[in-house]
Amino acid sequence: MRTPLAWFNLTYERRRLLTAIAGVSFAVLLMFMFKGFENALYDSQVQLLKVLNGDIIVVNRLKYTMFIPEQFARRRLYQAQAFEGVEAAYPLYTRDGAYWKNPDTKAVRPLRVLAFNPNDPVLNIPEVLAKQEGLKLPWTVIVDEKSRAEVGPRAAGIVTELAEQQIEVIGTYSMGTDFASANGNVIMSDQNFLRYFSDLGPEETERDLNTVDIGLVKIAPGADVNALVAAMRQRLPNDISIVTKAEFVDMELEYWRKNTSIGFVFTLLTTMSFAVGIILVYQILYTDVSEHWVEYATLKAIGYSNRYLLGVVMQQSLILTMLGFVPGYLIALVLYKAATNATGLLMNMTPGRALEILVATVSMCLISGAIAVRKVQAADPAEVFGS
Amino acid sequence: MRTSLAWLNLTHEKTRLLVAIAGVAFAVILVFMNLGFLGSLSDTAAITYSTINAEVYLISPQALEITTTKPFPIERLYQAGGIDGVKRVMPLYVSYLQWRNVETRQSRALFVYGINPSDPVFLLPDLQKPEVQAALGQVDTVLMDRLSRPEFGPQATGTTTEADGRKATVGGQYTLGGGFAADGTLIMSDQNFRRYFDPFPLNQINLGLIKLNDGVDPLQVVEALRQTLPQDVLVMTQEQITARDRDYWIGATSTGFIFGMGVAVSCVVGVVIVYQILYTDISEHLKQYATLKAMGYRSGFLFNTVLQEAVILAVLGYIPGFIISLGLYELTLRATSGGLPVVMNIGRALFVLTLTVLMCSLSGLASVQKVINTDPADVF
Amino acid sequence: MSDSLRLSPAPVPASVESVPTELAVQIRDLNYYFGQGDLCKQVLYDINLDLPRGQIVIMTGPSGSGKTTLLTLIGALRTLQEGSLQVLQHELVGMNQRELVDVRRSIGFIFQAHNLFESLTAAQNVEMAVELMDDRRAKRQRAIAMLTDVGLAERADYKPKALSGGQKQRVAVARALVNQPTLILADEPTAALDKKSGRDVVTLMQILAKEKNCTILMVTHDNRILDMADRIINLVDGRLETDEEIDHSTDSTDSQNPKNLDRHMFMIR
Repeated sequence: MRTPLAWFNLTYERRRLLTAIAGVSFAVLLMFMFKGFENALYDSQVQLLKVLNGDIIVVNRLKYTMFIPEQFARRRLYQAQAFEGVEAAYPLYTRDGAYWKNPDTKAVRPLRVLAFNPNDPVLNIPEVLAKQEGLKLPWTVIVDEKSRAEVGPRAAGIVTELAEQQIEVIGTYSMGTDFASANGNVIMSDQNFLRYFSDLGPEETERDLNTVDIGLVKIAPGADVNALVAAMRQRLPNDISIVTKAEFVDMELEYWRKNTSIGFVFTLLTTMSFAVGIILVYQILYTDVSEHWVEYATLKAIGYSNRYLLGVVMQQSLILTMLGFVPGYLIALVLYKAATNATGLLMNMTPGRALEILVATVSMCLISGAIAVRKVQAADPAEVFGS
Repeated sequence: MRTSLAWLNLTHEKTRLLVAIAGVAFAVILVFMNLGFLGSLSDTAAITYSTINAEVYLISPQALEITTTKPFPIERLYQAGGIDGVKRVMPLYVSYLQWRNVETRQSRALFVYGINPSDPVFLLPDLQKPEVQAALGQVDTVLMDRLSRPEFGPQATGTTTEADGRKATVGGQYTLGGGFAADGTLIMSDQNFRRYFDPFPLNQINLGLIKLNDGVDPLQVVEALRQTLPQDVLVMTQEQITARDRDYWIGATSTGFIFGMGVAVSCVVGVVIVYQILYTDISEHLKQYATLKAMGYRSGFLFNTVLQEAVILAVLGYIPGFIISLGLYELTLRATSGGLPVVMNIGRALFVLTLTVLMCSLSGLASVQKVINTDPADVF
Repeated sequence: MSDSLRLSPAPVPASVESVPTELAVQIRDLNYYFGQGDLCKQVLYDINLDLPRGQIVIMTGPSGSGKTTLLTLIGALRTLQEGSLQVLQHELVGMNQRELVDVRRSIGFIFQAHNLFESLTAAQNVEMAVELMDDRRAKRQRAIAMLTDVGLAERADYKPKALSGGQKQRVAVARALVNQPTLILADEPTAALDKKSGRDVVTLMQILAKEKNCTILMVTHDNRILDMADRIINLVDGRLETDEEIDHSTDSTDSQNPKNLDRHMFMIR
């Protein structure tokens, strides 16, 4: 095997090597961080949507994002149910900004209420099934344990107020907050929903069970979901939107990507981190070439070609990538955990995301290498003489 | 003046210097961007309140920030009117309205301010124009914020569309901005407000605005009001309510945490970059430094030289970093149609400069060990 | 002790040679210029030179006389357009970069500074030269063998920072000679060494030259080694001023005769 000159030159000075690795790791960490936050903000917005137990989703045409409090007539669900291939259709009622009183501090905070008939399998969460009977009791609710701290203690047995009426917590489940849910989510039965929100003062919008926020349609196994969606769009009135669940999730994500500055902000920050990484790696490569310029020129005099030297530089670049990526990745994992705990955001490391950053890191190093390589090409063997 | 060894050492190799400056500059940019985004959140809260012509504010204790308020009785405002120093009290109504884009026929939520047209609620030059004043008084006519996102459609005077099922005509424009919670805003008269948000009794208000006489201390009035009014309203100065909104947003969106961490890690990167440069420079010039020691220079001199290099690097990197950040701020403003009002201010500029110098000095201190320990005897 | 080098049978003094050996270097009408256009400056004028195989030649002259330039030209380190310069039967004039690189592989270079890689051991530094010839399997053996010949067998796995100046230069010599080149170009090889090390290095080159019939062209100011050459050429202002053969057949002391030196002298430093 050929002498690994690239490796030796890169690693023979411990402190220099450690500094180099630290630099690359932190650039990698920066990219992981910013991309992670961006993804977290997006992932959080669709957590609820993903656990909805429906193959087809029906919403008011105006409701292009969960933020918008528009409902559609329940009649439409009955109409959807009549289609062949449709097994069942369930209504889901939501209320944003319902005021929940923190049992300890007595401060009132808005959160989102999700309501449905406990007999309908609306949400794919085991804790909901477990509390099916309990939810049928009046003035009861189960609370998302990942709600923000301002909501206060949320264990079963706690009694407090929602929308200025008494309420009892009979259990918890696990989901997570997003921008539309404000401080948290709670789940109750549709009958309880009426109890709290159908008879309010003049300045509040009242609700009844004839207007539905989100309609979930389950289709029979083997039925063609796309064909059904197309058929429904054709035959049902167009005051509603009919989409597959995947499309519904995408619609929500699209809104957050396009219509908020989140995408812009984090893409900008990630790009900056990428640029910093390039500079860091270039600095290291450049220093190596400068310091060993005479030796490299000597190699050229002995008879090594330019291509060999280019190879050395590129090899160093790649070695640096790998050595820096691993610690960067590991620290990112730790940071993701810490951030999830501190903010309630869903910071997930998936193989796909790790790969994305790895590719970016490799490109970073290749680009730096390509720039540094020009300097090594300039090493003139003739100048080694007589100096 | 003594030859600046620090300067000469740094500038000796042009390419190396450029790379170093680039490194520091980018770290500076990262910090500026993170702080900028954080600041824009704070500023959006401030922008709204600073445009309102009042020094003292009343809100319900259950209100979180300006778009999530709970109405309270207007009596409280009238009670406040009797306090010494108060020039005038004005009610402010707020809510969201589904505004239809006439071109795309898509509806989106616009944030609405309802005011009594004869109250000078907003310090907006457009509202002083007589034709705009007149439009405000017309039935089903509203004023539209120019900074509303393009998705809301045309803003030209005369545009007629539907809002929450009711006809609405644009009677004029102003420039404000919706901040974080709203993609656009409208201003309308309280009478129109009652129509669109029917049933909405005008004796329940969302915010109470109190204008003071010239020279009166807002804090004193706030104190007096807190004594007088019952606990079902909060009394605050403009500064206090701005801070309250800002803290809410930073907390609610975790952006404080996110960007704070961004700043921290960027600083670490900056330290690493500079350390690398200084360390390499020192290693390369070890013989020369040792020679100086042999000649009789003290360690303190070498220490100073390295530190000087660090500071020079800091400043040289800060300047392009600052300039490019200004450019990126502008880019952000354009790309988000004014949604993110990222602006540079002196305080932040100075803070980042200090941070940069500190960052570089830290690296300098870390790398200086080697110089102090050079043995002049090694030269021979 | 290595067996890779053997003492050759009693050599024939150059003056008594009857059969002309082929030339290692043949230069005809060589003119060389630096710079272009207005800044064009001529540094070598009408150089004509023949260097036979096995000859040890020292090139002297004041600084700026063009010695180093001529050396680099012969070493295929610069491109040439005018005249004729044949090195080891290759015509260098008109060659492109790639061809020049190929020629370099047959030449051994020894510089004033050792130019070793700090990150590699002595053996690895020498192996870098062996790898050029694609001999991966035997490279360590060959490197060790060469290092043994220069007396550094025990130091083979030390890095340059653990070697003295003289030792480092010897590693550089080993690197230059491991591929058994037929032409060695040396630029002030002894300038950084003390008298003893300097003579040892040159003596070493001498031995190896005679054994392998290798030509040595050395640029030097070092008066201490002038007596070791077969020929001294003097370059002044870009022209060959003098060209003197030295007759060794009358050397007084046998201890100066390279053939009589004991290999053991180089062991254990």
